[in-house]
Amino acid sequence: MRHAQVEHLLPEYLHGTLGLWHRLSVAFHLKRCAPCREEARQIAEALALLSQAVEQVDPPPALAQRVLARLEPPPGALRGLPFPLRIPTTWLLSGTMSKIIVALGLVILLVAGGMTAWGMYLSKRMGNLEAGNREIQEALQDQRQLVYQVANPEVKEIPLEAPPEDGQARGVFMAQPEGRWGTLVAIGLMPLGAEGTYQVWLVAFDGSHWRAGFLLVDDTGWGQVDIRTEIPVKEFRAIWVSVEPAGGSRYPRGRPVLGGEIQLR
Amino acid sequence: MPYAELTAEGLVALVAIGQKEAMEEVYARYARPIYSLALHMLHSREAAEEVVQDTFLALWQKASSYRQERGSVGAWLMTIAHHRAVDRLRRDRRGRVPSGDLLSLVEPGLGFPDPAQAATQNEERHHVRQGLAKLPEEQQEVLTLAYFLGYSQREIARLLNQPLGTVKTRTRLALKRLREALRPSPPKEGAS
Repeated sequence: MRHAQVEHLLPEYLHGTLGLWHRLSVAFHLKRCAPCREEARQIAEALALLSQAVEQVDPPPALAQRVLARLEPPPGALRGLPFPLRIPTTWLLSGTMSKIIVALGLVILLVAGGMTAWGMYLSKRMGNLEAGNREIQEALQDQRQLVYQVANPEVKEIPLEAPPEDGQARGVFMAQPEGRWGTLVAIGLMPLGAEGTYQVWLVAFDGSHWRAGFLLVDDTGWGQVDIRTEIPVKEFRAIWVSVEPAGGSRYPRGRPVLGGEIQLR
Repeated sequence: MPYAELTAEGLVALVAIGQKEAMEEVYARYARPIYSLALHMLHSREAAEEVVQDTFLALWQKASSYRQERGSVGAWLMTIAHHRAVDRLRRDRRGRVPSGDLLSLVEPGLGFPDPAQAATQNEERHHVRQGLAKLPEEQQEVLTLAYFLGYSQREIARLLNQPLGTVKTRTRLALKRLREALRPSPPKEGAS
C-alpha cells in the first residue's frame, strides 16, 4: 500500500472503523514506514486524550478482582489433601476404639476408591495414547508436507504478520505461483476456545474474498493448514487470517490476526 | 517493589514477564478512563465491564509486543479499549441502516460532559474540552460520529448527506486541529 493511501486511511484506521482488508494493509504499512508510524502515534495520543473528555466514572470495585482472576493459570488438580486426610491427627489418636475403627474404615475406603480410580485412569490413558499416536502420525504427515514445500525451489514464501497492536503472531504461506495449493504455517497465535476459530481468506485481485480453510492452533500457538485453490495462487493478491465464530463465516467479519500480500504475478 | 513509583512503560515490561502486582498497578491507573469511555460509548455497565476485562486481558497476553516508540501506554490501552467498544457497537447495530433520526444524536457537544461541570473536572479534562470547543461544529460532528459512535466515514457521509470526500476532509482537519489544540504548552516563565 502506498504512502498517500495510508495517510488517507489513517483516521479511520485509528477510529477502528476501517474494513478488515484495509485495516490489515495499513497495519503492515505502519510496521515498515516510520513517518506514517509517527503520524499514527500522534493521532492516537490525541484520540486517547479525547477519550478523557467523557465523564469519568469509577468501575465497580469487584471488577478488579474479576479481571485479575482471569489472569490466573487454570486451577490445578490438587488444591490440598482430600477431606478424609484432613481429619486432625489429635482426633485419630484420641484413644477411643470406635474412632480408630472409623478412621481405618475411611482409609480402606479411600484406598479402594483410589485403586478403582487408578484403574479407570489407566484405561482412559490407554485410549488417550492411541488417540495421541494418531495425532502424531498426522503431525508427521504435516511435517513431511512442510519439508517438501521448504525444499522445493519453485515454492515462494509469503510472510504473514500481525497488526501492530495485536502483537507477536507470525506466519508464512508457501506456494508455487502457478500451483493451486499451498501450506500456511503460523506461530504465536492464542489457542481459541470452542466459541471461535481462525479462518483463512484469500483475496483475489477483484477484491473478492475466498474461504481458504481453518487454521487449527495448538497450545503452543502453532497452526498449520494446507490450502487448495480453484485458480493459480498467483491470481490472489493477499492472504489473511481472522477470528470467526465456530464453524466459520461466509464472509470475513471478525478480527484480523495475520495477513500478507502475495505478489506472485 | 514500589510499583506505584514505576513508569507505565516499566510496569508493562513487568507485566510482560507475568508479574501480577504490576498488572494491578496498571489497572489502578487506567481502569477508570477505560471504563468511562466504554460506558459512554455503549451505555451499558455490563458491556463496559466486558470491554475493561478484554482490554486488560489483551494487555496481559500481549504486553511483550508493546513498543514505546509507537506511543504511550495510555494511548495504547485506550486504543485497544476503543476498538473493542467500536467492534461491539458495530456488531450490535449490524444490519441496521443509519437513518436521519440519528442526527438528533450529534448535536454539537454530544458525548462531552455539560460544560457547566467544567469547574469540577481536573485540569487535563478541562484542557481537552477546551481543545474540542475550538473545533468548528461540523468537525466536532464527524469526530463524535466516528470516535464515540463508531460510524465509518461512508456511513457518516450517508448520515449527514454529505459527499464522502467532504467527510474525509473534515475528519482529517478535525484530527489535525485537535492535535494542535491538545499539544502540551511549554512551561510558563517563572512557573514553579
